[in-house]
Amino acid sequence: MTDVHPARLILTDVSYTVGAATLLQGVSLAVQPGEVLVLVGPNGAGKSTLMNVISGDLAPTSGTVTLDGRAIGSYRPNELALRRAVLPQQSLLQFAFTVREVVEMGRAPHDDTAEELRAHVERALERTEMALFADRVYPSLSGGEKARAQLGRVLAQETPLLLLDEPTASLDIRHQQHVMHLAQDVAAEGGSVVAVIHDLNLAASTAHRIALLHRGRIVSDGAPWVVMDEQLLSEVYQCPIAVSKHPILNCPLVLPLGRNGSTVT
Amino acid sequence: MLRFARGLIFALLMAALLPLGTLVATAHDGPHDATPVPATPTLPVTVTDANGQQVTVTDVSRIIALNGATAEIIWDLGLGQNLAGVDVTATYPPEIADVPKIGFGRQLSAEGIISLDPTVVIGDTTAGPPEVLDQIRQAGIPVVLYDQFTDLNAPYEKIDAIAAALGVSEAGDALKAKVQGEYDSAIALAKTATSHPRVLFLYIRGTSTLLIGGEGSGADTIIDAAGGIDAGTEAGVKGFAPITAEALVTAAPDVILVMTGGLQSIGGIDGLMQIPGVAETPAGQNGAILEYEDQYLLGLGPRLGEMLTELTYDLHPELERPATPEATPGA
Amino acid sequence: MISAGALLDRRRRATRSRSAASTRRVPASLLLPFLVALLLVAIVLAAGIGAVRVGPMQIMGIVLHHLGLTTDIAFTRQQDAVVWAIRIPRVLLATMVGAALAISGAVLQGIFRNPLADPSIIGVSSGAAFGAVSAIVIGATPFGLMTTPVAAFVGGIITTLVVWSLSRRNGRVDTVTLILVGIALNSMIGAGMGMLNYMADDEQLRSVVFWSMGSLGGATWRNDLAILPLIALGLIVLPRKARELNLLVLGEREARHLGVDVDRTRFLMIVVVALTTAAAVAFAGIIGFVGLIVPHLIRLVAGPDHRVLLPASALAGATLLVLTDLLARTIVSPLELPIGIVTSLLGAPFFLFLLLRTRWQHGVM
Repeated sequence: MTDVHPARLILTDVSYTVGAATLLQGVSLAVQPGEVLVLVGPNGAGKSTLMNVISGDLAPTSGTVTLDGRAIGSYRPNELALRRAVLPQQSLLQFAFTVREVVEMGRAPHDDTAEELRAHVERALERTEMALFADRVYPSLSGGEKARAQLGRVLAQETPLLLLDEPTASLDIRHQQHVMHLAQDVAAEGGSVVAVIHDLNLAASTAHRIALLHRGRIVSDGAPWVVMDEQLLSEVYQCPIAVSKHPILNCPLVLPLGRNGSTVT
Repeated sequence: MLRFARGLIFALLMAALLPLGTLVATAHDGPHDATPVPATPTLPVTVTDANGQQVTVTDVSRIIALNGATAEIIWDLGLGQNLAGVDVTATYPPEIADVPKIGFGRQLSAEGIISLDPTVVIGDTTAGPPEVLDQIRQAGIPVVLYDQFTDLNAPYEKIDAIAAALGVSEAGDALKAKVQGEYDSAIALAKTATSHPRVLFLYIRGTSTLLIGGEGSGADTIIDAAGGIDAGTEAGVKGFAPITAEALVTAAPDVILVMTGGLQSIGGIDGLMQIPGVAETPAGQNGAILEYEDQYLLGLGPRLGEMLTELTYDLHPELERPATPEATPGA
Repeated sequence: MISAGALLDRRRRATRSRSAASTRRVPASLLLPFLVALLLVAIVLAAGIGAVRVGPMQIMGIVLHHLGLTTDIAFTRQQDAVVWAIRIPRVLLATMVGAALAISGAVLQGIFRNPLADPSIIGVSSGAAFGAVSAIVIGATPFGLMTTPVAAFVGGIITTLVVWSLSRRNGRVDTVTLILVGIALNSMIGAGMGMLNYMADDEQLRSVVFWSMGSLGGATWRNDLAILPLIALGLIVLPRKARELNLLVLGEREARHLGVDVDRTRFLMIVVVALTTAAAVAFAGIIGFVGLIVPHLIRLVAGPDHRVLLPASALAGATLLVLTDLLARTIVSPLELPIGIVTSLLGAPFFLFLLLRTRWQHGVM
């Protein structure tokens, strides 16, 4: 029986071991077109490793990763570049490229005419609110501006699958929301987004689905209401957490309880 | 950065070496002959040079000498006024100090040499690079290279080669005879010596190159000929070996022989005495340090006989020096 | 009294606001033709000036004569030799070596994402030096006059390959590892050269010193034609990798994600750089700073896009070396300054300036 919407990305029983350390164990995951999947979990849970496996940078020690029906390892680099784009945690760019040039690099896997190139780049700049910064040189930007420039590049790549590794880390609250709304737009257009987010409330309010990682395993995978379980979160994060209903949005509200359930003072 | 530092040091070294020639004065560099009579060459002349090539020389009015010994011999043959260019090692006689310098003989500049408008270029086979010599030949300038001669017959062989190439074989013969005469009297003098001092030759080039000369150093045959005993060879050193305090004490030389350039590079006699082991040798304790100018000692040129005579006197105090002004070292 | 810290802050802020203004870059459509014209002018100047006086008419007459056209312009055999056998091959060598070193420097700065890289980082310069010094000190001449250049070439290539293989792990080469292995190997080779210098006699030492100071004096038509294929290889192949280099500068992982076969591309570029640089060094000796400084200058003027940077660096490097060589062989005529000294004397202060400027712009490096 075939699905009406075949999953874009399928991980089956993926494990990743390096030396004596098992970073991922028995991870199975499916990502559909049109959904935003957010990976959450404490530090060291394996989120980055999982992202590396999903992007094809790391080959799992066991298990399979399938992208668009083919094993991810079977794609050549430029074929892969047309199917998935990766926004890294940090960027090392030291050379004085302009923001526009950085975004243009996202079009590298495509064969654009000059017109098409311009159009795609302009669109990406607008979506990331970086149009005014287009001619600024990258090294002169602030951390948040750099992050948005890189996001512009990744959006310009226009791939069905978008992987965002902590895209909101250096952004203010407005831009954090903005990024996640962009992710939702991408999903609405038929794409898939997998993002690693630390902020549990941001995840709860913007994700279609959440996968909670704990010590290399997925301990919960589903809609935000399902995953944001008080007891589970407290256990996984090793600190008292309460979960309530958001007073305005239809999503859970995650409330850390401090020491002994009291406030800070 | 390191590359730059090295580069700068070598640039300074090169700049320093250029005037070094004129600082030779204090050391032994031989008595001073009057200007030789100008020779009249018989031209044209065709010789076979060291590379087996036939070279025809038609004009010797502007000669370029590619090393110091060549320049000196050309001067002694009476063609000194014809020198149009010499390499930087040409430091003797002082009269040629004003002749334009063409750089180091191993690293010549084709256009620079051609711009001096030479009629013949002459040197030994160490001259180079070969491409530059070819380019000079291509400009129609004859280039004569003679072999590198390294034994005590070298002066005669060099004189022969140079005189033949410049068409002054008669003057060449006369010069050879003079040199032979001086050489013979030096050897005879050495034979009358009763002492046989142990002489250690030290090859020094700055504080990073401190070597003892032994068998085959070039100085060994000279020390022998002057009636001394080469302490390095006796100690079993082949070629050159690094100076060590032990080696110095074992060799126990009565006299230490150094070259002027080397001695200056470590700060003179004081610097030499600071090398561990030197002060403990008989030579060090008696202050028996002999300093000879580089070209004079090892150049194997026309002054070989003069130099051996002087060295023989220096090594054997029991021999009486003749009281003529010529015998005193140049000031 | 202003504290040093406040002064640094002020300078940092000033720099930021300076570079905050939109970039003023010279467009490629202007820069490249300008550099070509500049190079041609330099070549003509260099062919016309030297220790021997040759008038421009005679130069033309000589060149046309050798191209098979007879004119009634008179020139002496000496002038003919000077222009055709000495100056023109020399100017051509300067052009090839300058272009090779500059484009190699630009490529390596991109591969290593480090504006301070130059061809010596992969070991090719020290390897070539070791090869040449070995040939000089050992003294055997199995290839006749070509022995030293061949030894230099082989030394450069072998060293690069050793650096590369030592940096491989699981078929991948990490950039930082490559740099560190390069440093280690350069040290080892330095020690080896020290040993060779120790063994060398006076005359050999002089040859070694001169080789390591660089010289274009050995330029002949035959030597030029010998290295032309390898230089041409570099000048043709490397600019075609400009797009990949732009992506590599973004980051290795990012480049991979954008479809670049990072390992294969890097390997290819390093091999071509090694071949081109070793060929240049084989006949010219060590000429420093060209590979480091020229790409920087171009970047300041035209930005970091390698599609402009690579060809512009090649042109500018060629021009720089042609003019520097002109200076080196005329300033103390009839002597010649070793060209490596001239480029170091000019390049080192400029390098220092660049270094400090980078510090100011980025705060602490």
